[in-house]
Amino acid sequence: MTKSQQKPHAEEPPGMRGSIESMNEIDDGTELTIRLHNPLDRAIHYISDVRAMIFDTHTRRLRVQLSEQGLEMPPGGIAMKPRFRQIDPRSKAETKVRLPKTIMKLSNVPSPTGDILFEEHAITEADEIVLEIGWADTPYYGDPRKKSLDTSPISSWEQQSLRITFTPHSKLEN
Amino acid sequence: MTLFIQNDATGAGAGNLNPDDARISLSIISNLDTGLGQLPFVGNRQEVTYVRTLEGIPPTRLDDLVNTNFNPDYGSGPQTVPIVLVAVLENFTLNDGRSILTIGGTALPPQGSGLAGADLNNTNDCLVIYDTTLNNGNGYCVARDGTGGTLDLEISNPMLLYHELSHASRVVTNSLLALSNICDPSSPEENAAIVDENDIRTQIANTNGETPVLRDPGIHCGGDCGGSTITCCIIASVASGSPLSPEVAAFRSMRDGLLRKSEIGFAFFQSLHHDYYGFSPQVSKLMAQHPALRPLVLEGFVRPLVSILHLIELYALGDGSAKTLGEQFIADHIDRESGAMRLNMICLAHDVLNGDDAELTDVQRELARLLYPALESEHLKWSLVEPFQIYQSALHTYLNGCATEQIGKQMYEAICSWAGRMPLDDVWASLAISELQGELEILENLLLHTPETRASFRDRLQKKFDDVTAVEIALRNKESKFGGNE
Repeated sequence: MTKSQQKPHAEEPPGMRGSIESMNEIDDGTELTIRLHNPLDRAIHYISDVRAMIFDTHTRRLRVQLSEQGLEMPPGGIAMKPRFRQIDPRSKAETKVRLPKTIMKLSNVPSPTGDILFEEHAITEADEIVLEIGWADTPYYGDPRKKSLDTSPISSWEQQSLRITFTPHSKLEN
Repeated sequence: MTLFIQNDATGAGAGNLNPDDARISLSIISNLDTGLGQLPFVGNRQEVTYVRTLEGIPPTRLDDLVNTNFNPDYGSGPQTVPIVLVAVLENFTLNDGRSILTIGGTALPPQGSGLAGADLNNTNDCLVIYDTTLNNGNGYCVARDGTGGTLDLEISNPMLLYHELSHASRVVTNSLLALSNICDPSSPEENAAIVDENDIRTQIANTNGETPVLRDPGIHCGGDCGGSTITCCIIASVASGSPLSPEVAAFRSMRDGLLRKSEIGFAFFQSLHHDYYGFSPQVSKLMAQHPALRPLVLEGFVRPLVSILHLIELYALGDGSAKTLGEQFIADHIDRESGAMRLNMICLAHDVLNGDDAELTDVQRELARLLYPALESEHLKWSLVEPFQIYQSALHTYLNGCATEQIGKQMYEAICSWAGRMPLDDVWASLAISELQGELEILENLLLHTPETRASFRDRLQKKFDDVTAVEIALRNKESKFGGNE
């Protein structure tokens, strides 16, 4: 088990708090154990599955989004609803987020030959992991109004985003 | 020639794609037609060939895609657009970071085409990308047709690929339909792709000698298989034992099918949800710890509420008369004995709600403490507590032996009066005149049935928003339409 340090975000809004307790290698990837704290008198509902992963090759920062903020919805097979979890009022909870060993993405760089270019990044390459968790103090319900067609109903639902910045211990040692 | 399979992920190394799955899935789409083949690799791609020998919708569509040179004009002249199949694994993300597991697959139009998703593609090809791991083994479950949105129908890789090829067929002919961000109802483009997906479902079922089970084209949402992603009405779900119970379905249907579609209704529910979820998870937890509470909550609160909300729905959408309400109430309560039992439970629930703790157990007192916010919240009081009281009163009248007409008249008057007291959310002040008029029209048609209720409601509206010009004008227009004297 790799014990890691959590850096609280300076401008973290009031509401859900969290820290990454550990980052462990598992068979098919990496598992983050996250401690969450709800200091409110109301239950908090949050997205518990990974919606996006963005690796910045310059800063070697991996952003893991449990949030739909800023994501486009292209034509697709299924609009998979996020998995939601809930923390009771004034309670602590623990959740686990599984990441693959590597991320394979379509490259932003155009190929001179016209071929499709991909990029591959190992999770262990990251010097810093930023975890963003979208949450609200009411559960998510779809928005059936016609005018909502252009906005993502899930990102509209997210009242706030908890941001946990985390430096893997092994990197600190290095 | 148009259709290619990407064999290797240039820049990312071997083993990151699963081109074999693309070959197998295409073969299934062709209904195992022996005319399907591939040319030798050229670079990282392999061109698909097809000399079709079989009839059927999926083979015919595949034939069209393989053997047509697509030259759409997206605005800067015709261009050749090949379709490239990219069969990916669970670790794949689009270039904005979106995980493939959130959509199962996609068809990205070529860069510069101006079509939805084109800015996620930096090639001149139409990229058909699909997850070959079935949601990393969790399965993708979509809405089974005819169930109103139950997400229990699995999608297999050939179905997913065929769905994306349906999108691709419109990308390469520049005929993509409208897309939206909501999944229920699905957008025209997704609706069309699901209709096509049902063709391959039918073909596979027929081949296996099974009855086809189809996907609902009106619903594009999906969830993990084996895990319910349906959320509604937590107390009713726990009390009735299932989020799929008839009681929860009734609440969900009223909420989404009727009430939340208007701006006012939506804003109302935002406030209601805020207040409701301030205490309901704690109530559910208490029920989980003390299962003996469930019958009280179910029979004392949930079922009476379902009954009265159905009657209010009839008032709003049916002929709405006192006679109809009375007749429906009687029809719903033919068995007087169970009506009497329900009234007993409602009386106990009433005591709990009012914290009348003389006879309550410790757990019931704890429930009373948790339910207290319902009495404090204007929205909860109006939408739950007051209808509950209307029902209790009607049941009492009925069990006292009063005639149908009297029960109907009592309910009609109570509902009319209740409707006029609807809480006024701030959203009224943010609407344009035309929107306000539309919302007033809807509200008056549905709930404010009598001239007195309408007048009283408008009066409240005017007083609360006396400095909002749009409200003033909308109300003035209403008055002039009806001559100020309905």
